[in-house]
Amino acid sequence: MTKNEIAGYIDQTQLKIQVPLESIENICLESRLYNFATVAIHPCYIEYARRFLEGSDVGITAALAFPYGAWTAEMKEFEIRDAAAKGATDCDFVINVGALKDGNYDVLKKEADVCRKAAGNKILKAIFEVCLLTDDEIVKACEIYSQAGADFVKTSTGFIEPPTPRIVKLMSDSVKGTSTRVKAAGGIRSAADAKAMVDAGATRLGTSAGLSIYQDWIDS
Amino acid sequence: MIDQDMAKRMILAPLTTEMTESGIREFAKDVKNVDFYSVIVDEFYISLARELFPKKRVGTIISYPLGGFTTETNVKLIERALSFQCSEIDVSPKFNYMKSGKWDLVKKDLEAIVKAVGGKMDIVALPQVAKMTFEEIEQVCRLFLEVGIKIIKTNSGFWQGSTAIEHVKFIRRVIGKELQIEVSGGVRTKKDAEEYIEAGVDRIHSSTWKNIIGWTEEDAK
Repeated sequence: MTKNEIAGYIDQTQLKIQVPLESIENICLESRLYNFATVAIHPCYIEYARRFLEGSDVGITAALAFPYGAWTAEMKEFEIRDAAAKGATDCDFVINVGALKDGNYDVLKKEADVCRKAAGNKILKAIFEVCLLTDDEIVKACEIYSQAGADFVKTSTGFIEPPTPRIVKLMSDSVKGTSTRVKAAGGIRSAADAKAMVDAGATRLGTSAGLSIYQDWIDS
Repeated sequence: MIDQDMAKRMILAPLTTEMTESGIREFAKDVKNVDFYSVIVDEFYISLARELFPKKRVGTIISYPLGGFTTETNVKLIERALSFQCSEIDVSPKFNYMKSGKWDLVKKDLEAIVKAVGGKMDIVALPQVAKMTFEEIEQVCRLFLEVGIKIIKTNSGFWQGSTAIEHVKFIRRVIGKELQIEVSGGVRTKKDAEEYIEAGVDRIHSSTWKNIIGWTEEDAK
């Protein structure tokens, strides 16, 4: 695998509250230097991040309806449009997990369609929070969001339990044959963790350890 | 027997990622004989909570608990809350700005929130005391008062640590009585609740509210 291929997997993430704003500048500069796919941040910092990424190919991932996801489709539509207008290239939104658990699929289908439309040509990633879901619920959610044309189904917010490679494989198998791919996020701390997720079928990785993962990976 | 005096201080928040409509309905059954202060739900469940608790204070959360929403999204959520006659919103300040000492930017966002609310709901601000220095806690509490926010909820109670008695005593000492304090994170038992009240807390958020107020299965009948 080439350096650029490895870098292209990485959404370098900074969603912590207890660190200064400059931590976002730092990940922008790192991502620019190594050509990571995107920086992943809270939407209120999109415009701040943009100034450090001008003229580079590094995108901006916004964490939306984050972290609970229990919003109406109308609210998600608003937030996606707002983030896109401010400069987000990737819209990662938390799905309505409660509606999924209640088997209220009409709510999810509407949400998936509304979010897809609101995101337009931006990359749309549907976050599931898989640690709260059964395998059947994960497969069902993969079906709904891939049918709606989400670019990625994404495992987790990173704030509860990390996903396992087994779950990533389940998601990857579930979206096979569609244009939807899998983003693994949460608990990916080392190059070994990252490779395990890629082997399981992930093509994007959300991690706050992007730099050391990248360096260890190209060294090995 | 439910301790209704304690219940009157309780803010109940069926607020988890996996919260379902059936879960909220179940919760409503559990609390039918509980004289709680208010119930906080996510935006998706506001209309349901309004229907289930027509005479109660219903609130929602804004930029919560990580403080990452844009001001525009915060204002939109406030419009949604107002359209359902909510009584309160729980709001996070922009923490990364705080941590960088960019108080002007923290203030600007809070002012937009206060303006959008227009005095029609209580605003409860979240200083996340477990992740802040005492100096930052004092500064942000003063800022809340300056922009017209008179209530704080100490922590989100989810992934961001607990509130210590020392936090409450500190805020009471440096800020005084002007700020109402709701404690969250760390109150598990009736004894805990009494200690926090003694230290100067006005209201309590706790997921173990049943334990704190002496609720039993009989109370749902």
